[in-house]
Amino acid sequence: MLLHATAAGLRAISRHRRLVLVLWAFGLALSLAATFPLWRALAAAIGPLPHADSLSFSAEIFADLVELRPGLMTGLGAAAASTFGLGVLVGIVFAGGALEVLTSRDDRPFAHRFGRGAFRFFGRFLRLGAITCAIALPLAALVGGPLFALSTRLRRDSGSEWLAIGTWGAALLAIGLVVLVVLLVQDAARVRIVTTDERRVRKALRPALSTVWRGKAAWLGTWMLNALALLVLFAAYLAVAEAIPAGRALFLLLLLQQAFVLSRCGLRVALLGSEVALVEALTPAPPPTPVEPLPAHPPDSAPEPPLA
Amino acid sequence: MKHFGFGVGRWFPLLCALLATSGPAAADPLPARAPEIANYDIQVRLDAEAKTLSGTQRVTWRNATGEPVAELWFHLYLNAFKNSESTFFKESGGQLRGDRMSDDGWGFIEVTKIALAGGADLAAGATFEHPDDDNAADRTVWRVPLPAPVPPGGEVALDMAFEAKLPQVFARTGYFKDYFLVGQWFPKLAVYEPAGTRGRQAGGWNCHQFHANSEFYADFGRYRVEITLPRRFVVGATGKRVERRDNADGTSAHVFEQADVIDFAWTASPRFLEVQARFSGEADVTAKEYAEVAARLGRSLDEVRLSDVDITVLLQPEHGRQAERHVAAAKQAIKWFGLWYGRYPYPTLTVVDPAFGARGSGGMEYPTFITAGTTVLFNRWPFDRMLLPEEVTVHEFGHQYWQSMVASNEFEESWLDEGFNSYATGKVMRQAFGPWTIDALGLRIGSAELPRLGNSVERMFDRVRTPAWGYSSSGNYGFNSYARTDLTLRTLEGLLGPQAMARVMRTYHERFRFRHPSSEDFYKVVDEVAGRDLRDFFAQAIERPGVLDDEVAVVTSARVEEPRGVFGEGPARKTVTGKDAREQAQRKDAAGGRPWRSTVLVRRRGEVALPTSLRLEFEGGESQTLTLLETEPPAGSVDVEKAGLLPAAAGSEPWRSRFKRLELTSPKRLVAAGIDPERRLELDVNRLNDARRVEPDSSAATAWSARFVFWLQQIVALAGL
Repeated sequence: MLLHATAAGLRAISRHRRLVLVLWAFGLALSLAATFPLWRALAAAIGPLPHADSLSFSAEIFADLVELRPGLMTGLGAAAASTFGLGVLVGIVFAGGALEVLTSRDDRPFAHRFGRGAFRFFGRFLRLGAITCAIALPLAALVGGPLFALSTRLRRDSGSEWLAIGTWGAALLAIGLVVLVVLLVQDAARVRIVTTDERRVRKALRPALSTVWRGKAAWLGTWMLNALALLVLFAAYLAVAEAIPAGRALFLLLLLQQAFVLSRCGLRVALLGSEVALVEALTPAPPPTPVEPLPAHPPDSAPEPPLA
Repeated sequence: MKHFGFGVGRWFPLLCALLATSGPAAADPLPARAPEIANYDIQVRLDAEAKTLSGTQRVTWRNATGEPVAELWFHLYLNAFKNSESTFFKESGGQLRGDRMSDDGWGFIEVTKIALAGGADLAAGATFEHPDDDNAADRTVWRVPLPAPVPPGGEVALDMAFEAKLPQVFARTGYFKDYFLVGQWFPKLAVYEPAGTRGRQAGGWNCHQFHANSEFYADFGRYRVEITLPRRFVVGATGKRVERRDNADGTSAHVFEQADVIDFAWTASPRFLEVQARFSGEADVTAKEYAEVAARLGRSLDEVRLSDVDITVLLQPEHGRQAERHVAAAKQAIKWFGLWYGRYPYPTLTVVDPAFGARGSGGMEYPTFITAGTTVLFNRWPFDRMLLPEEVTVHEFGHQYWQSMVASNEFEESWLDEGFNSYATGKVMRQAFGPWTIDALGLRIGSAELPRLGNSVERMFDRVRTPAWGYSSSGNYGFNSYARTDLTLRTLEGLLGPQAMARVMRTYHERFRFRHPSSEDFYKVVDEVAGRDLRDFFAQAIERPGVLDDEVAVVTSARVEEPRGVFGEGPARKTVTGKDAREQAQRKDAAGGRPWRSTVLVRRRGEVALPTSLRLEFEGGESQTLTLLETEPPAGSVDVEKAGLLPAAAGSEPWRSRFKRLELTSPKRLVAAGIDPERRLELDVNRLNDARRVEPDSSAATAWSARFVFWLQQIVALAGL
């Protein structure tokens, strides 16, 4: 099943390259918009500086910016936070559009199908997100909280550094696992909502949970393969990025960055494709509709109905 | 009853001999020995279960002053941990450097006996004092009147017994499970300062209470300490172990001895991984390094040659992979501190890695004995590329020089201790390990940049030279004592030049090794070595609060306009219209161009005024540097080398008021102007206004923003899951 899902994911990338581009464009547009005020502030702050290293990061100038332009740093944090918030909404829009494109069989233009899915399912996915958040947060706190408390206590009392750090790591891992499972169930629910046009979000969650539970190895395996691929890509990005010399090669670095982001978008589409395949494979076939058995032979004695 | 009396005659010749050997020698400016003022012979037993110490000690104090002394003052610093009413507890709030005191971790010390050696009991007249505040509940300073004054050159010996309960470690000293870091643990004599010492009007004991931010000021002496504790413990201590005896009761006695030190600390834990190494003055320093340092310092090769040192690193077992890092850091510290300031005179150095859970005892300095601090995370990539264990080791070793050997008063002049050491640590780290303290995952942070992070107007309300408990906040103590002093000394180095500064620091160390210098002593050395009067520099940078913030406020450059209007009188009167002027300008431009008229406005936003320079950059890459003198230059031509602190530049300008406007006409367009282009004035709080282009260039902002976009895209991707 894992192989089947992975293959479906790879097919999704090759067949729906425009989805990858749309996701990349969404992210880029949002990030550019959030960065523009920062760019203006930065240009005012360091534009007059002849010694501002125009092509590589200067820790010295950054240190002075942190110290002397706290507003700039606050703005930077605000930009990141607002981008995250908007990113959640963009993610919901994209998920609706992408799943519609991946699951619909009609031959309408890409933009039509994407837009249809994005707007049709936006409200439902938003409600679904709120519900999953409401489930995930207390669950994560329930699992991670005691472990964090234990880690703090061990740090103070045990004298074992490994134990304290290990418990802290276990807490993080447990929280991560809870969040991951909830996200996978949410993804399964999204697929069900799109394929069945289910309007009641909560009703879609239970079968989604059942789908994930039945194929838990395949779901986790698929996600881990995807995450592993992302990790490999990021490591490769870091290795190449470090090798690019500071200075005039900034353009190369920017290209490399966008290549990485595009690849990441591709992996996101692949994950969606795999998840659609998993839901299809794990959803039990509907029981056959009972059909009234036809009599083998009409009774001989029965008179033919009169023709009207 | 034997009486170690107050006779002078018997000891005075020895005193003179010792003083003679402790002064600068003609052959080697480094004094070989410290004057023995306070000698200790201590026997202490650790009850590892009860966390208590039982000790006896013979203390011999010699009156090396010219005044009779009628009382002795002691530090009983474990009493800082006795209750919530101690000055230390009130200042620290029961937490220090991120560690909080546990509810039942109190510690204290009680002197159960004090008597003249073999003679009269002195306990009856003893009182607790609180010279720094009105806190009568503080029990960290103890005054003991003597039945008769100790005459000049005489000495007194006391027999003492004490019982102590160690605190659970949260700050500097104490226990955590079976780990013990035992510092400030025995009744220790304060320093008697005769009139004239460090500006004193009258002689007296300099004995401060134990404070949150300071704890060191003591006289030199010889220590012999016998530590008895369960046999399973690995023990490290100040000095050299001269004996180890296993007793029949399952304990071991470890005897350590060390002369020429101001304190004694020790540690014990059964878990220590003991790593031995040796620093060799022959193998660990190349002939070229010796030659270069000798030339820079103007000393002979023999004067800079280093001695061998036995290094013991007591590591937590889980940090075993970092043994080599600690040894390497210790060796680099012994090497570069030794080469630059004077050879490390002791035969041993012990580096202690505190137990997890006792990090409050990390990053501490005692003579020949330092505590570092690390974590298992630094065992592996990418954290192994963060040189924090190295930096802590180098810094704490540096206190052997700035606090332990040059024994300034940390309470009253912490900048001479922590600040000098921060400056020296940064230099050693950059020399030995390169510019980056952190170099991992594309993030690079250098030791030179970190002190600038706190260099802010907000931190300038205190003067650097302030008693450690007298700053407006604990943060301001930290900034002024460490980072601002580092920046001040780097600024001084920028003004004097690296060679002169190296000689200043060397001379200061040589002259005041095994002595108690004050700020004025350092100022005098600087004036003497630099051959200049730098009182104004120290008055501004150390003695007064103030900000150094020079800025280039305005830079403009435009073609010289052709004159227009009415010129001449009578028949020669001529009117040049705007059109005429423009046409004339065009003709001149076609013929090779009009000159450019440029204006540069430099301003002094802070109170501190230091000599600096101004670089003017012209189109085509040409540049010109002017020296801006802090005072009016002498009449006639200015010899910058003599008049100011900066090396000669192409020209110089006086700059005495809060601003200066420069107008110049040049064949090429001015594109930028920058003040202090060589970055000599590290104290400048704002580098963002040090230079200015005529036309702003947004490429730097674009480059930074482009990187930010990438990380925002990652946030979007994460949010869209």
